[in-house]
Amino acid sequence: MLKINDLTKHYGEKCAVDHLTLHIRPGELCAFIGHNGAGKTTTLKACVGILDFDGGDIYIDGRSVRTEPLACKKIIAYVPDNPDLYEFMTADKYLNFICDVYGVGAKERKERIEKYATMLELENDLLQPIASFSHGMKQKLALIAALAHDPKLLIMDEPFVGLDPKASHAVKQVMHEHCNAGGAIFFSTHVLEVAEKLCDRVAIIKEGRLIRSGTMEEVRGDASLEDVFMELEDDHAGQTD
Amino acid sequence: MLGKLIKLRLQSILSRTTARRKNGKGMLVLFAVLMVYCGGVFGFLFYHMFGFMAETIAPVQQYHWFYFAMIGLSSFGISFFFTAFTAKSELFEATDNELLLSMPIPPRTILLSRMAILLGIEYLISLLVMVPAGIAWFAKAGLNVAQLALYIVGSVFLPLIAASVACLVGWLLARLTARARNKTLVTMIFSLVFLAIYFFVYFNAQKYITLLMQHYQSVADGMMNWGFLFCWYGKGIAEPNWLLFLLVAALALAVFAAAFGLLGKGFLKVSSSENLKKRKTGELELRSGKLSSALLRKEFKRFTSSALYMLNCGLGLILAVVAAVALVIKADAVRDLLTQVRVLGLPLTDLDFALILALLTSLFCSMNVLTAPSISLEGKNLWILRSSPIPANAILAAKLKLHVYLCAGPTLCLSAAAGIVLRADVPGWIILLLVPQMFVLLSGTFGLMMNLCFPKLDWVNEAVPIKQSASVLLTMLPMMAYTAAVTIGFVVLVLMKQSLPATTFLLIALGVAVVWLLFSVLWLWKSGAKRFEKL
Repeated sequence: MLKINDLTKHYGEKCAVDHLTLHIRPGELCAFIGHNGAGKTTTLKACVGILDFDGGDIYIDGRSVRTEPLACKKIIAYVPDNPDLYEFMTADKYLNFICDVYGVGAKERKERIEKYATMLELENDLLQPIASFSHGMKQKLALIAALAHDPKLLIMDEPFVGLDPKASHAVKQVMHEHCNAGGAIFFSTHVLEVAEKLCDRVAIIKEGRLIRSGTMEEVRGDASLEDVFMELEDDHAGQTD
Repeated sequence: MLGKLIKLRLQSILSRTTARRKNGKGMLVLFAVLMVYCGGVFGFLFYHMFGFMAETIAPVQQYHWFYFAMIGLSSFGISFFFTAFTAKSELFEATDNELLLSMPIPPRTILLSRMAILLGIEYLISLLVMVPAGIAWFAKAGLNVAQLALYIVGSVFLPLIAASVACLVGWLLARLTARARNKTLVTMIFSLVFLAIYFFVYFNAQKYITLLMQHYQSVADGMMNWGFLFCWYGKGIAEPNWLLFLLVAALALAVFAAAFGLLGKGFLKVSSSENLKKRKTGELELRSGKLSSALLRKEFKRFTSSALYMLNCGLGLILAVVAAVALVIKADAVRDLLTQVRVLGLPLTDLDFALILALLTSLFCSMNVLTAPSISLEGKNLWILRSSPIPANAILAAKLKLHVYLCAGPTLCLSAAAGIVLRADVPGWIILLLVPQMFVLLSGTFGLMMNLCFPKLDWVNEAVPIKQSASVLLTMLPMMAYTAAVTIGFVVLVLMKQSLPATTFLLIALGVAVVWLLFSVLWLWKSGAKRFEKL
């Protein structure tokens, strides 16, 4: 579903992503972890096609993000870490706009929006202006908008930040449902416990380089993900030194 | 605490001018120079206005008080007019209101600090009136020491009343906009009403002052009935009468104290009412539509949701309709003017007149720059469009469509009015209808091009891309400079009776505009999408 091949991205002199290769298959839920500034958001933005990259290529369902960006965008959805939505719209108008953009039929959009809004407990706020929403509500709305066109691949940047425990639980449920239905999810997180419990794959990035990836069992072995992560960070720091 | 709050607020106001800029000090100096320039211009204006009044009133000793009463009235009116909206934003919409209200500071102290800042602004504005008016009177009639002392002390007390009234009106505006379902529309209406009053006064001031001076004795005799405060103020200085003056001072202090007391009661409620809007209720309606319509609706909603965007980039739409109505009403006067031009023997054909009016109509179009900040206004929301499967050309087309759809109608009204006034023939009508529409398209495409070349996406306040961005400036200036240059060139050419016929000159100028338009369209077609994708 998602093939990142030899991805490289520089910001001036700084190498943000360094020859990163990662493959995610349909039905897989992959967590992308790393410290602040490791290159997670850069990678995710490159996958979504909103950030140009210097080397390598990214394929979504066999199509290159570079050469066929629109075809790729049609089957993916992106939820950024800070959901800056159109505050001049009401939530329903925003969802309608997104559905029009993706060409979702009237019946499907109503079904999906009602389903996910109920799951995330936003159904009573859909007529309100987005400007009046809290961060968590915006996060939920961004997620509903992302799911409204039934994407094959969902890319999320820190999806649990700002969510209350109940909403967090609902989002996890939605993520599981999506993968069980054959979709794939690639998301970044700092919450290692969530990644450990939720995901079947994990990729660890440090200073732009992928230092470990594989199934959760392969990566952590008998230890906890936190221990492995800390160990890898230290090892890598030693190698760099 | 009050002093600290005032200092904090002053720092905040100054930082709007200097913050987030590398050359902060330079900007401050530029700002100061601009303020001195504006002060000089207004000072000169008021000196002449009051000089004329002083010349008329000075010979009649018993009406000297009327001159000072007029100073008081003008100072009050002007400072109130320019601070009513500031009062609303300073008192009730300051971004740090919530932060300060959460601290152990009495709300009344916060309010007083805000009112003190407003009072400072009132003092600055009233000085613009009182200094030149005082100099004008001194030059024509002279002032004794007591009169001068009272005049100076008076300039301390009168602004208290203007500040109080401005605060109360600000409170009223804040209440009305907080309760309104469509806050933008209410703000727009108030802004337009204030703007209309400003233009009315600006264009008719000379006429009314002349009229006033012709009948000033009867106006002065009746003033006690409606403006006793200003009468007391005038008599206090002119006679000089300390008792009357003390009465004015006491009244000004009482009004300020009353306003403070009244506003203090509801300050917490009004300043936090932003978050207490009524919830919308009803059925969830989801209708499917085409991508192009969805994008256009989104652009339209963006435009109508911001009073700042509408007033700064779309004011020409309203002015075009107003100008069209005015042109039809004043049709005979315009026709007389055109006849006079013909009588002068200038070699102008009907086609030339049509071309001139078409170009003047186009000048109105260049005031509408809806596309110039439209990409910058995406700001932090740009990720939505960039991550969606929307061709960049479709996004640019939606922005251009909004400009054309909104500008075409009012421009057509003005063109039609010009055609009616000119009693244009068929070629005249064609020119009058087509040329301004071409300029509508030109300002739209050129504005979009400029915004793609000079985007400003990292703004915090939307005033930055709308009012302070290079793209808006670089769209408006060339458009206006072109139209002005062609008009001036044309007039010079005709007056100097050069060998190049006027019609040929105008057609060449139009040709330049056509080439300009084609270049903008081609650039957008070839490079616009690529530029957008790189943002």
